Amino acid sequence: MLSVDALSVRYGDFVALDAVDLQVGDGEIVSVLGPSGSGKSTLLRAIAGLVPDAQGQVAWDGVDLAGVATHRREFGLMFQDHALFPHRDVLGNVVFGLRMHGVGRAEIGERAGVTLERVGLAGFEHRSVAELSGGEQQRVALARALAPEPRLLMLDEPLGALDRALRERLVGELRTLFTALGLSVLFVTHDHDEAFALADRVVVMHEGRVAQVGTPSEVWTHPADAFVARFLGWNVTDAFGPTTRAIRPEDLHLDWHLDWHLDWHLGDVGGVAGTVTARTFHRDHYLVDVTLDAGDARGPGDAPLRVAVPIEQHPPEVGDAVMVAAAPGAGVTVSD
Amino acid sequence: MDRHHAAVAPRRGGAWLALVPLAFLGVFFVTPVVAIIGRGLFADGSLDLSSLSDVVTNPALRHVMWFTVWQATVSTALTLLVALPGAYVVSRYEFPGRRMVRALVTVPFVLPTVVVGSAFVALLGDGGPLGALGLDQTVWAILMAHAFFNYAVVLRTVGGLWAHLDPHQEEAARVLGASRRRAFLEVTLPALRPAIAAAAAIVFLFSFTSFGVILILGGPRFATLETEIYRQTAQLLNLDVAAALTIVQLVAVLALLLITGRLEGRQSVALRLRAARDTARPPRSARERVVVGINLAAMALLLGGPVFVLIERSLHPPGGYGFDFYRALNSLGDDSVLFVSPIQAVGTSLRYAAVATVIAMFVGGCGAFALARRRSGSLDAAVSLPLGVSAVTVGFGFLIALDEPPLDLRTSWMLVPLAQALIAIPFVIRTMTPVLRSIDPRLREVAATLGASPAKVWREVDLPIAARAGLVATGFAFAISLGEFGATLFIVRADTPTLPVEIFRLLGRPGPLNVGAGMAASVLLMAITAVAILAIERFRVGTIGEF
Repeated sequence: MLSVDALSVRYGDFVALDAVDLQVGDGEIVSVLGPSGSGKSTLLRAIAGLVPDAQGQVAWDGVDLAGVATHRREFGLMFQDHALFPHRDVLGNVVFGLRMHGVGRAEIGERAGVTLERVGLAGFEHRSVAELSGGEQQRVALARALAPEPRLLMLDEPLGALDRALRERLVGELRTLFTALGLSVLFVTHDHDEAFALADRVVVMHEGRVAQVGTPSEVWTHPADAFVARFLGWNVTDAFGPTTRAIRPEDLHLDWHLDWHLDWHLGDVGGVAGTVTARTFHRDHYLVDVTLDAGDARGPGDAPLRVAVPIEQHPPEVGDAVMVAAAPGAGVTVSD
Repeated sequence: MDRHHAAVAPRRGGAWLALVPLAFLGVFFVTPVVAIIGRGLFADGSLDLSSLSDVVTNPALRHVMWFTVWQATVSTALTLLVALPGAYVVSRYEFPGRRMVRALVTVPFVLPTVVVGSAFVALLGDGGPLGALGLDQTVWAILMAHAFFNYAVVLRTVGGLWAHLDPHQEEAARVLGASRRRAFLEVTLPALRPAIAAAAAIVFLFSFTSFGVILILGGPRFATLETEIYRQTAQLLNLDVAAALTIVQLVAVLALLLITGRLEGRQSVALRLRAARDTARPPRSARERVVVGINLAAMALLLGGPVFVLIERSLHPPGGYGFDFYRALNSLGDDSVLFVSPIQAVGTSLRYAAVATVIAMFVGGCGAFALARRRSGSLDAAVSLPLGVSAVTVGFGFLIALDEPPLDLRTSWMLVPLAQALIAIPFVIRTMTPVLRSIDPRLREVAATLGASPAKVWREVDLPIAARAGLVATGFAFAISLGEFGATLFIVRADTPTLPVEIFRLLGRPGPLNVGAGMAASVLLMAITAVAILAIERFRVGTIGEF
């Protein structure tokens, strides 16, 4: 298994990685999730041994890899934009790692064939990599990384450059492939849907530090702090109580019928008043942004509250005055 | 510290690589230039500006300077006028044979200048198809030859950018209400302006330092600084005047190089560029087909015409077609005035060019690897200096600097290949460095993660890519050395002329057999050069490494 201990990388004054701890168990799929600039790619490069002056420890099965050069670590790395060798054809790219490991000619042919088959590129052997589509290039890059059977496969935004439909299909394919091969996988992404769909465990990063580690369901239900909550699309607000809470848009409710004043005065609805400033449609629900009125529990100028309205309801229009209420017990208390 | 140091980063060491070109330039470029300055500005060990002021105030020499500037200006304007429409057509339209056209258009630029000269002699001289116009020995012959020679500079520099300009920008202007003309003037032209300016500066520089073309086509009537330096040296033996003229020339060229550098630097403004294949489309309307057709016809006439006429006339001795002129290449040496036959000059040329290519590839290759490792503006400037400095300066400098101990090469045959290599080195560096720099560092990294040791990374990633660039550079260096005329003319020994020098002699001798043999020898030289250049196009990696 991979264990990373207090790994730090500085570029001048800029701290790219700040004492990161991380484990990837055998056969485990771990995703590193975070916005761009959070240090995700640097983490992969440092683990691969591509960052000259990283500090801290990277170890495999308890053996410190300090002083072990990249090409002896047996970690595969797949770059976001693939970095295919332009002067070699598809087969030349895929067999590269096998050749570097001194695999015999006959075995190279056999293993390359199996790998290409596995990623759905059988018959592409002698195509030029320049004439492939983005999805095909991504498969070649994957095949190239898989062929030498690395003990850890690292992927940097593996689906980042692809269009949405292709991405959603490949997420499923990748998970099936990794599980079938029993691979240890560490991949980074900025897309939480992708991270949650693919990973056994998610590491959320923020400004070079690990903000949270957990299973997808743990992270999704209990964001550790305000940053993680916001990154996952939750509201972070103190409008509904004494503490700052993170509340999902689905756990907020809107009341915008004419009689809301009545309800309000009768005390049936605990809520805050605001005005709809934006409304967007998302498959099975609308997302409605409500800017709270001045003088209410939250001051004006704070980010609007985002509320999910089921598609069955007729949503309010922009400019409508509404009440926002939280479901009883909804959300988690977070520190800011 | 350094605990995760990986050996895959391109080794930052290797600064010694830069020493090779710097030492070479120091000995074979700086020393001659210093000698010229010493000769022109100092007398008996003290500063003496009299020969310089004599030169600047002499009315005849002032006229030479004026004509040099005038012909360069008009040549530049004429070249832009004919080549810009061609650049438009080749970069914006897709038509059968487009790649071929792009390659063929480059041929005049890499033709040896004596071949250009003799092609225009063939076209405009006695018995030529345009001989009746009486343009031979007029300034028009010079201007036309310069446009012929520099057409490719404009086509490649401007067309290269044009092909990568996003056509959506012009379309966006059209959608916003601009007419086709307005859209061109307000969107496309401003985007192209840096490239046009850079191309104009280069054409001006080349015309300003043009030597062979003017010597052959201008006859005694038209002299530029370059030809005057040669005349003062070789005919009048007036070395002090020649040195003073060379200093004037050197200052002017340095100023031009500075301007060119500025303009080229400005070219790299952030433009949104597209892959060329996305911007070209077949001509659709009748009007577009006419525009494309006219330009292709103009290219064929301007660029193909002189070459075609040269070949035709070389095969047309008095009394019908035949190979008499080519046979004469072997027999003319028996004549007592010529020491050697032209065919012997071919052997000399090939030998010299081969040696010069080896030197240029070694020195230039070291320079390219050094430059690719670290971006150094001063090193960049130092190695590209001889690119602009005229061959005549190099030749004259060699003549007066390398003829005494400690470095007495006067009697050594190496003098010529050294001068040719000096002129070829900047081309080698400018061809190879961008390719080496363009190697994505992640290719090295990914190779390392796949198990390649640093040595294997170099062998598997750097070397295959560099090797192709190296082949291209070798072809260029060979073609340049083979056709080199200006420097060679100063220093070559009379009994071992190179082919360009032999052609120049033949064209200057009376009698149709001599001129005919000169044309035949030109065709031969052109053929050898064309083979080298077509080999380049074959190996070129994309369009990286153009200049």
